[in-house]
Amino acid sequence: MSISYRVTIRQCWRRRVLLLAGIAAVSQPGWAAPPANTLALPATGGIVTLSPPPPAPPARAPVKLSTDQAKQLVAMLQAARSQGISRTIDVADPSTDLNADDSAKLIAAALDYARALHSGQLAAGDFETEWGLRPAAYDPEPSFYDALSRGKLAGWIANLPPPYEGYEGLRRGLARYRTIAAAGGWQPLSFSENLAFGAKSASVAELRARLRIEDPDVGDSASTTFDQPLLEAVRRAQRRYGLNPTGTVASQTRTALNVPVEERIRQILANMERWRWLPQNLPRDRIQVNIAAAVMTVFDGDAPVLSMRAVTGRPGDETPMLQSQIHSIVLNPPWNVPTSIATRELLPKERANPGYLKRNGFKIIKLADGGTRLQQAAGTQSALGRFKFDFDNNFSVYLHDTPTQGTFARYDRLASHGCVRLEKPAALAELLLKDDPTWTPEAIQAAVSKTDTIRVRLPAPVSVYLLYWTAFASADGQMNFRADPYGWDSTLATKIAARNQATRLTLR
Amino acid sequence: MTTMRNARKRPALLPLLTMGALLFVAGCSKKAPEPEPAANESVAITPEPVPVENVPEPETVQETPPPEAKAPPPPEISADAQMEADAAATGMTARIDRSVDTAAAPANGQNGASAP
Repeated sequence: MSISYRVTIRQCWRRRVLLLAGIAAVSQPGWAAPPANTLALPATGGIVTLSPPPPAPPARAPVKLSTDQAKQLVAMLQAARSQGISRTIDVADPSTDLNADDSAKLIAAALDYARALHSGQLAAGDFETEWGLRPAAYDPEPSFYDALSRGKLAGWIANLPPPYEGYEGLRRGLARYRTIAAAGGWQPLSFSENLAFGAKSASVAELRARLRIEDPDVGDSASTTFDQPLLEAVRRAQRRYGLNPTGTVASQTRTALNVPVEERIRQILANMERWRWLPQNLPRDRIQVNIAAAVMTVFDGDAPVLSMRAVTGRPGDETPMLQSQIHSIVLNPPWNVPTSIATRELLPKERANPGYLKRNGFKIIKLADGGTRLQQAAGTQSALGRFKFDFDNNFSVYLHDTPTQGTFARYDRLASHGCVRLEKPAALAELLLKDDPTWTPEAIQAAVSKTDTIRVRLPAPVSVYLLYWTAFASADGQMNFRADPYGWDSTLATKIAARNQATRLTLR
Repeated sequence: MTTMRNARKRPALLPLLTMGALLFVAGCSKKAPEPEPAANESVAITPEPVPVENVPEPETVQETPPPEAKAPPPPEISADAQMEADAAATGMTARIDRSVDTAAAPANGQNGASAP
C-alpha cells in the first residue's frame, strides 16, 4: 500500500505549491517525530508516492534505568530551556534505581525531547509552503538504546543538538539575552531627535547607556558629548542590525534599539529552531543565502571563499527556504515572463506607453501546447542579466544576474519577485566552473559579451541553501539581528507554542 | 474702529503724519490695502507690540556641532572581515567536535542497561 499526494505547481516564476491532499494525513498531533514517510517536497511537480512505513520493530524488553542513567536523562530534560526547547518537563532528580514503569516514562520523555532537539518541535503539517527546508525523519530510539547498552549515554545526549557553530552562537546568545531580560532589559529611548557626532545633550548619555547593555565595549562614561568612542559604538550597533553604519542615530537606529529584549529572545529561539531543520552533515562545498539579510556566501571545504550582496524577495513575493543543487549556469538567459508578472506589471505599461514591450526586448512566443508566453530576449535588457544559476525546486526560483545594479547599494535589499539576484554573478560563475578547462574566465567573458544563450553544466552539482536567519552571532560572539520581513519568526513562535505545553513527570 | 473714532475727534493732527502712516501701511503690509481715509480723517499709528520673552526652554537642547566636529569616516572593512561577517550572516556552519563527549562514560561503570 502506498500513500499518494497530489502536488500542483502553478506555472509561474515563483512558488505556489498547493498540497491538495495528504498534508492532514502526515501532520501529527503532539510532539511526535515525523514518520518515516514524512512529507518531503519533490524535486519536480507531480504525484508524489511515498513508500509505506517500514514494519514496526519487535517490541523491546522493558528496561530499568540505573540511578546514574536516570540522573543523566533528568539533567538532559532539565537543560531543555537552555537549548531553546520551549516545552519544559518538571521532573525531580531520582535518588534510587527506577522501576520498569518509571523507566519507561522517563525514556519516553527523553526520546520526545531528543526528537525536538535534533529535528525541531514542529510536526510535518505545521510547515508553511514557503518553508521548503524541512528536517529529515529522525528516530532516536536505535541510537538511544545502543548508547544505553554501551555506556555512552553522555555522548548520545551531547550529539543531539545541531553540530554547528551558528547554533552554538545562538545558544550562548539566548543565555546572555535572558540574563539581560532578568536584569530589566531596556526601556525605549526617550528622545526622538537625531543624534550625531559632536552633539551635546542628556540624550547622548541615555544612548550610551542603552548601547552598553548589548555591547560590552561601550564605556560607562556619563558624558553628554557624542564623542569618538560613542560614534564607533553606534556604528557597531548599526552593523549588528543590518543598517547603514552612518554613526548618526536617526529613526531606523532608534527603532532597532527600541525592539524589546523579549522580542530579541523570541528571534533567537525561532532561529535555533530553524537550525534543527538543517541536515547534521551539510556538504562542505555549498552556497548559502540568508534571505532576511540578502547576502550570499560560497563555502569551499566549510571555509568561506566568496561572499556578495544579494537581492531577495520583497514581502508578498517571499523567497522560499529550500535546499537544492545547482546543476548548470545559463549564459545570456532569456526571461520567460510569468503570466502573473505579464498581467500585473508589463501589459499595463504597454497600454499606458505603447511600444514599451518592443523597446525592452519582449516578444510573444508560441509554446508547444499551443499557448503563448511573453519572453524577454537575452542581452543587456534582460531582467536576468547575463547569468542564471539553475537548480531544481518547486518554487521556480533561481539565482541570477540583474541589470538593476543600484539596488545592491541599499541596506534594505528585499526587492525581487522571489528569485535571488546576485551582485557579482561572474565571480560565482568563475568559481563554480574553475575545474572545467573549457570555461576559463576569459571564455566566460567572451560568451556573455555576445547574445547567444548557452547552458553550461557544472562539473559536479553544488548544493545551495536558501535560509532565513534573523538572528545570528558574529565571530566575536555579539548577537546580530535583522528585521523579520516576512513575519516568519512570529509565525514559527506561534506554531511552536501550539505544539508545546509544560508537563510534569512524576517518578515514584 | 475705536482708533478711527478717536481720530475723528482730533482733526488737528498734522497731515504729514497721515501721509506717513499711509506710506507705512502701503509699503510694509502684505494685506489688501486698507481703504484710503477721507481727506478729513487721519490715521493713528499704533506701535507693534513688542513680544515678551516667555518661551520655555526645550527639555533637551541639542547643540549644533561646531563646523570642525565632522564625524570621521568609518574605517575600511577588509575583504576578509567582510567575508567573515557575511559568512556569519548566512550561517556559521563550522562543525563542533563533540567526540570527547561521545567517548565519555560515567566513571562508576554503571551506565549499562540493567536486566529487565
